[in-house]
Amino acid sequence: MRAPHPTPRAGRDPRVFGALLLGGIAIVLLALIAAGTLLFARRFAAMSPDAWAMIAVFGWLGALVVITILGAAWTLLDAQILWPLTALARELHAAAQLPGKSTLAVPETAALGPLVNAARELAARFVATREEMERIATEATARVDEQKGRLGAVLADLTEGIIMCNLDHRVLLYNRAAVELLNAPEKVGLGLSLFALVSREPILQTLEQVMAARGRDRSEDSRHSSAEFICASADARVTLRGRMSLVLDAAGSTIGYVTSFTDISSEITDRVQRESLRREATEGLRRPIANLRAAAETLADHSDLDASRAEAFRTIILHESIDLARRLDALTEKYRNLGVSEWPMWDLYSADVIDAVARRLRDSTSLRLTMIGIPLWLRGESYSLILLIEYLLRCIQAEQQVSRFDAEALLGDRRVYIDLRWEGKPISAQVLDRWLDTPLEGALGSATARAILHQHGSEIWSLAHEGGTSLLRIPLAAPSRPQFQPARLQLPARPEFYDFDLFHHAEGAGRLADRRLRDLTYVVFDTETTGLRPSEGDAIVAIAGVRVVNRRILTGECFERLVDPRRPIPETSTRFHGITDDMVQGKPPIELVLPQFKAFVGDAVLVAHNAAFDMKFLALKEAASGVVFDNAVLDTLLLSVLLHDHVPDHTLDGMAQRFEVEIRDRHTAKGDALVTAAIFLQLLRLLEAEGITTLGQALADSQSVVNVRQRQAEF
Amino acid sequence: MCPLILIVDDEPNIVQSIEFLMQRDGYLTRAAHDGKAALQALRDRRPDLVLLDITIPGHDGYELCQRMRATPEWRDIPIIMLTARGRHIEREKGMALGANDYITKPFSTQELLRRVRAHLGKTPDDQ
Repeated sequence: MRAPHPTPRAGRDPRVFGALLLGGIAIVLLALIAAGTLLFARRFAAMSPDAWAMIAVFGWLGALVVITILGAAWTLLDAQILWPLTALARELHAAAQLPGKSTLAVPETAALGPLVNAARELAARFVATREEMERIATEATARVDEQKGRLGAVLADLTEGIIMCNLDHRVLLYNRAAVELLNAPEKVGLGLSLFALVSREPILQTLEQVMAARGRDRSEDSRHSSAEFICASADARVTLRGRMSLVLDAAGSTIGYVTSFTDISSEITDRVQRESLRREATEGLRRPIANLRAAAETLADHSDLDASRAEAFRTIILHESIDLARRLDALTEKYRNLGVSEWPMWDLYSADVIDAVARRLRDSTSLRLTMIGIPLWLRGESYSLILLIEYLLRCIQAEQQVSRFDAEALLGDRRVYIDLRWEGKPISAQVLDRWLDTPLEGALGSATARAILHQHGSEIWSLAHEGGTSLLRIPLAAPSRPQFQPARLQLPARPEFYDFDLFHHAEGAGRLADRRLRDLTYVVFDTETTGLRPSEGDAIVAIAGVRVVNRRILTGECFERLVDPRRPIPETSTRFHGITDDMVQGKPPIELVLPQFKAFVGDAVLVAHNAAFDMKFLALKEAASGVVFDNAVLDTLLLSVLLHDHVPDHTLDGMAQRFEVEIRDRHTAKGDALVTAAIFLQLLRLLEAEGITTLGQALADSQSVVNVRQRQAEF
Repeated sequence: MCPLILIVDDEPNIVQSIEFLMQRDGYLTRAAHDGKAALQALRDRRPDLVLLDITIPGHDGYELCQRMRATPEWRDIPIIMLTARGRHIEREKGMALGANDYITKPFSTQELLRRVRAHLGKTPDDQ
């Protein structure tokens, strides 16, 4: 908040001062002349009748002289001193206020010459200094923004979820991967508690451990000490491996911690399956083999067995070998389902692989590879696949003198195929097999093409294709991600996903009431309803909220849901908010939406325009939804009345106009929530200027407005 | 005349069992332990069905498959693939290169007979 600059008032204007001074002198002198004239008149009027007339003439003349002299003095004083002084004061004030003003338009006078020059010099210095400060500030901001941008880009690309917290476990920074990993977009947000996302104990324990390590050893190396831990997402659906390191300030004291998360759920399942498979392959097969061997040896060693005994042993051999074959089949099937994950493999986009091969070939050979068809996702190790495809193409070229190839990805039942096609004959299996034993140049560990195929669980073959062309087929594993995702969850753009100012927040034991308004986290929200009477069955059809942290509206952290009100929406309401019965059909009911909204809100302060109305709708659904909104609530309407009780218009539109807030999407829940948030920020500034700095004060003063309004309503 | 079955496998024990089973069922059999011997057998007398272990030495089981499908007089001979490694991809490759069916080792002898009969259309006893 800028300190208020006093404007020069009329009382402090030097001209008024001068006018009052000369006017005073004039009145005194005129009074003296009048008194003198009357005195003479009384003394001499008796002596001669003419004397009175003479004295009166002298009196008038005296008055005229005084007025003339003082008038001349005023003119001189005003032109030379008073007016220039006034002008100087105004110009200095303007220079202090207006950023671009650097010259002072003041009339040149001999009397004030040195003062004006000194003022000019001072103003010029001031303006130059201010410009320099602004330039430095702009540069610094640009630098910070650039660094933030880079940090954001790096974080966005990481596949690990990154979450940074302050020592109150409030989120200061997170990346997209963290939101996806924890699968709870409404719970990830700046200023929200980490424990709404992951289990509490592992975090606390690891933090204690890392801080203790730092406490023991405060050398430079220990700045980077970190610890690993395993934890679960709060809903216990995902097992995570975390790595935690401390965040230190310049002085080396701990101000927070950063944690990276990877999902190891499938890794753990995989490991458990592998272990059971290993046990089955060893211990599980031992028993039938032992039985088989015992029976076979008995038969072989004892040719004198009677017919029924021998038959019994033959039956054992038959049954055990059938059992053995069945077990082997089961093992093979299980092993196949485990996939080929022994080797590091990733989901790859066929277009990327083929494009990389095409580029390598274009640079060094006459081979031309053209990508056709629709690219698909597949699972593999991209570098060795690129080498393999390049090698195979070179082999075919050498064999058949062809240099133009097409590559297409095809979708199979449990595989994705890469087909290489050319005009010519298919390659015989024998020739193909011979090619596979040459080590590939550049491959890791000088792997052969066959080794790479084995790593990918693949076999290749060549067939005649249509129209005199042939193909070489490379079957590869299907990706772990869904091949096509028409309704892929598009995470909202979150431009403000970090806020380091939160580092300096201290939760402490104090109640929210003592917290400064500027330090609190708010959720500004709005609802659209079927009508205006909640107690008569009107219901919410849309609810939207936006988070406000550190006096910034985090547009990327919005909550927005359409709600099925389970009753028709009257035409009059639809005309107001544009939401029709069709639009809410199939949308979740309020009982499902409110718990999500509660999770989004956390323990933030709720803000709404005419909040009582919205809170009434929420309160009526407490029993049905099982969530209670016991958060502190601020009402922009009440705050506006509190601050501007002389203004009659406290509607959202009126306030938006007053605060010059741009209105977009008015009468949608989200649009209104954003307008309200912008207005709320302005109100926050005004509240501070009025000395209302804590939440407790704001709530108490709001209540007093309610009380006054209630009393007014009683009359 | 009895149908002739060519058995291509390099494991003498299993060849012995298969020959016994087929002969008992009334088929004539001939065995070959690699691709080269198999080609010779094909040339000597056209078999009515081939039982082919795809993993015979030299990896030429696939080659034989492909060769038969490319040769007009052998094109229509049914090939039943025998694979020791139960990998799906090998079956898929074999079928792609011209095999008609596959059986994974170890197999049930009853199952093998049933498949052979199915591919030959009828049992030899019917003739």
